[in-house]
Amino acid sequence: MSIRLEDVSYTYLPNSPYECNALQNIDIQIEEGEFIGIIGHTGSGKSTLIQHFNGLLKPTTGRVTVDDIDLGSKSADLRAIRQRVGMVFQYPEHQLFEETVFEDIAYGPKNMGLSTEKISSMVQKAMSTVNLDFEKYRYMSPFTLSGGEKRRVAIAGVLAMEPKYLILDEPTAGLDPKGRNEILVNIEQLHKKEKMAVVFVTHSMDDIARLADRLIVINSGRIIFSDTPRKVFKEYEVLQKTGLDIPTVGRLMLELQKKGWNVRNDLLTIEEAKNEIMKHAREVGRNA
Amino acid sequence: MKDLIHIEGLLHKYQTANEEIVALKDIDLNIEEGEFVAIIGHNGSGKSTLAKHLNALLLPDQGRVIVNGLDTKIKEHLWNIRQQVGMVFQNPDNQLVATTVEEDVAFGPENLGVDPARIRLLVDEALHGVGMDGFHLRAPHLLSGGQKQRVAIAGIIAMRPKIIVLDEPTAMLDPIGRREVMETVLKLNKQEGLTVVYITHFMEEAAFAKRIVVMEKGQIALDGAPEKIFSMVAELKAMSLDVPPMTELSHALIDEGLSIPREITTIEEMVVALCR
Amino acid sequence: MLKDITIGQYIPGDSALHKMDPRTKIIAVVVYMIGLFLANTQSAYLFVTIFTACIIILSQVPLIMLIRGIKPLWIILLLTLGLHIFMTEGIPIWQWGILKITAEGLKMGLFMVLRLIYLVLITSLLTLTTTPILLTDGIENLLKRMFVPVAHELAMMMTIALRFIPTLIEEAEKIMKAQMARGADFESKSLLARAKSIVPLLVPLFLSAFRRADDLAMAMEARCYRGGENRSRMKELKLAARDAIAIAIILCFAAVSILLRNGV
Repeated sequence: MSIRLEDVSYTYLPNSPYECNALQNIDIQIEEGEFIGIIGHTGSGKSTLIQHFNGLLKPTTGRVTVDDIDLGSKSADLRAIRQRVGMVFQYPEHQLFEETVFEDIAYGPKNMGLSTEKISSMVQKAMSTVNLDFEKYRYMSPFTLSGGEKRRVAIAGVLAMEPKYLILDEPTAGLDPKGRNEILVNIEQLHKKEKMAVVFVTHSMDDIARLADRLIVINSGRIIFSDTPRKVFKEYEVLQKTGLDIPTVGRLMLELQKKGWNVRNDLLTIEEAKNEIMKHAREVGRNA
Repeated sequence: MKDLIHIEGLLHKYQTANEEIVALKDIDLNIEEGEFVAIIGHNGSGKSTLAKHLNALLLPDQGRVIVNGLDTKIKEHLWNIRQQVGMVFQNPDNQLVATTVEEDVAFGPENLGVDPARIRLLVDEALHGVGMDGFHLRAPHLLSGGQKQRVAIAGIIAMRPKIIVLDEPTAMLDPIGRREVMETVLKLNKQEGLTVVYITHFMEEAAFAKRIVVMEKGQIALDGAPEKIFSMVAELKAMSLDVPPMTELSHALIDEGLSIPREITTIEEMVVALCR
Repeated sequence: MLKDITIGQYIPGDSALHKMDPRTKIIAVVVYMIGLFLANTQSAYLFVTIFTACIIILSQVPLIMLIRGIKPLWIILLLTLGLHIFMTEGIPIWQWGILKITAEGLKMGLFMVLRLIYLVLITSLLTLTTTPILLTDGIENLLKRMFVPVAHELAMMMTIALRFIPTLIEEAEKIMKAQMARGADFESKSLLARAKSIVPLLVPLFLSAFRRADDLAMAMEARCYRGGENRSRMKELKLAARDAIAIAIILCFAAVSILLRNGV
């Protein structure tokens, strides 16, 4: 069971002076339970790409299937697809509109036509997942909350529909370090506990390096890499040419290699860098 | 060097429905002409509130804020202060008021009643100063985030201020935009001698400043050079702040027994230290 | 993508019309309308047609752009034509049961249709040859001269609205997509379903607009904005010889149109 894009291309405003090939010949597959990072700078086509996953955009050519349902077929129930493939846009707090936190989170489940009891339990579960105390927040107006709290309400609104695949477009955008960490920890928990497939769109290699099973790198509407983070970061020259970068520790190891050090260059975290440097230090007999 | 900004005993509080909140307390701060000061702190630490006192968008409940000799509490000084202290905000869109770039950059000088021919000159120079020559007739909504912020900065420098305060100018930008803004601001500080107060929560950006002020719970917690501030890893983490990755790594290596300086913030410094 | 299409699209150019002061053009449009509405004979309409054609040629605007402006109106034009053809009293030249067509009806129908078309053409020419900034500057200037109290503020409102329309459209698209991702149905056949989907779109959009207004006001104050008093302009409007000539020509046009009237 997966989301599959087969030879998908997308052109904005075809046959007009504003025509633009946003996506070209995209072939990807997102398996159940995977944690995928999609990396590309602004204008690379990432936002266009993810909107194909839940049928918000239809490919100009090519096919999109979700769990073997062809999104292009007449019988495809797009609303059901959108329950299965949940999508959190950038700055999701901008979509809040209801009078209470409960009502806003319940919007998605309500559109699914469920019973009041079921809706209530889904809302409660979603709120606990994003660490919003149910009794405290349920009657509050979303507009009196802090930026970070609002964002969590918005994310809960998508989680409440219990999607199988969760797409997040730069969920940490605009947050301070504390807020960013909270969201990342939350997403990691979601992935592990609920076995939700997570597709995380970002610019920041540092955020995603540790968490992703696989990185998809997109540039000018084409996929240039689709592999594990370590393998992708080895291609640092190509990445840098396209204006992207590798994690800070990766750049450090490259510089050390240039100085003749015999160290790995596919490291992802500070912990790994520390260990590798200490190993090298011991080998060449350097001490305190 | 002259004290351009002098803050003493600043207190700022406000009422919400349930309680009185103290946003700033016991703030004593002096900023000299030509300095590049970064103010960091998590959301709610008071850094944005402090910034708004610098151009009298907010007034002190106690204490005073003196800008180039002018007290912000005195009404007659208001427009003078605001011409001398320019401010760039976080949302790139919500600062641009006109339908073309050059009209927007001209907005400030027009408000000051500057002579039309001179406005033209100021606009051209300002756009050149931010690296946006040739963008004069472009529509703001078609620009990238980084470009919009640079237009906003141009709109401020066209007013020839002494100080420019930037309140989290890169929070909503992508890495390319962040780099553009950072480079522009650094250039303005180095080449034009513009005094810069730069509020951010990106540690890599704060690392470029000559001085960092750390805010926590409405008070100034730390104040010093980046090397000194970032080496206080434990204190910063306790305040929910990050340190640059290389600083964190250097402290981890020191803990393992490696003899390298504590104040490493960049990759270059790390390489030099390790290859000695 | 909608943001790429600007309202009242301006086409850059170098024609006599482009170079005219916006105030001249605004006044000319008003005088033209008077001349147009006072025409009521065949010779008058012939004159108006030739005059309008001359202006279109002078503007160097591609005819196709003007025709595009007329296209959305075809229903109204057809209705107007039909109404006058069948409803005007006079000597019938064709009859079928109750329905009768008179010569007067044909004439009136044609005149009214032409009137509508020329009206749209000339106002389109105004926005096609004048940038939004110049238009608002021209309006502000004229209002000030007419001693309208809040002329500057009105012009400022127009400028800001024009500046933010594309931005708000873009935001509306984003909000729609976000709500669709939660099961909102904006394309349903049922009007009720569509109506229900309006709230999740309008509430966030309005809130966003208010937030923007707040931010913008603060940014404007930080840039020393305090209303229109003692405010200068980078681009000052200056009248030239061509403006005087244009006003003279348009006044002659109106005069001729009145002279060619049947009756007073």
